[in-house]
Amino acid sequence: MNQHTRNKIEQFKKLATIQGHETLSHTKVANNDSLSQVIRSKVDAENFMAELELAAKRAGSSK
Amino acid sequence: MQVTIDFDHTYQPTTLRDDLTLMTFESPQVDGSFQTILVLIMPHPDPLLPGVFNLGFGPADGNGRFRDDVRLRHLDLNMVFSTVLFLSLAFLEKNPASTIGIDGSDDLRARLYHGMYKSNRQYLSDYFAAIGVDWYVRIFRNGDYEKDAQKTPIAKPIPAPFDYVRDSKDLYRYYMFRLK
Repeated sequence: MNQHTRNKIEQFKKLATIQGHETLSHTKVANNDSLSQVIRSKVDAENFMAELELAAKRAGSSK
Repeated sequence: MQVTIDFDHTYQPTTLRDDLTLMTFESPQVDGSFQTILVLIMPHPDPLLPGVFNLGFGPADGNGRFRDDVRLRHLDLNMVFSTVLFLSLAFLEKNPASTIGIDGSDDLRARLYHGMYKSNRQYLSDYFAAIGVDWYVRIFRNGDYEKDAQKTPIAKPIPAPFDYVRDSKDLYRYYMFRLK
């Protein structure tokens, strides 16, 4: 990540701190999405998270 | 429709929550009007998926939600997507162990996300690890599918690094990304 983008992110974070709590404070948790429909159990979720970790590492090491 | 991401060209937020999970901005439309766009990064509804967040955006409905059933004609779709992804980038910088997921709620959106990943591969690879998720069904030796009590095939989501060689028509069921 270049320095310019890093600086822009920092400015963005500061802006968020200044703006603080917004008027749209009653947002709800997302409705069930398609991924929820195929995670049927705790075991499914644990398997998925383990595979996600591996996929993220592999994806992160490629260009 | 091709989208080009450029974090130097984003809209200014009109509302920004301090934890970076909510933002609004004004997007000029082709007809000269402005549309308030609400971007939400919400914890995934399944509590068994810790650290997974759902990214959604669309025209604000005035009640803290967005409508995803409206087709808009943005003057600059590149800036819209760049703004949404820039919020995601800032959020992940603040929460580096988290993963953001995008549910392609219909084929049109999924094609847009898929194309965005592919056409911005070089640019986005500086920031994100891109992941695609397919659903797989187990087939037994006798040719039958693994099914639940209602005789519905049991689909299992398998995440993998986004395959850029894969045909653009061969969409993933779910798209995810994490900070690189």
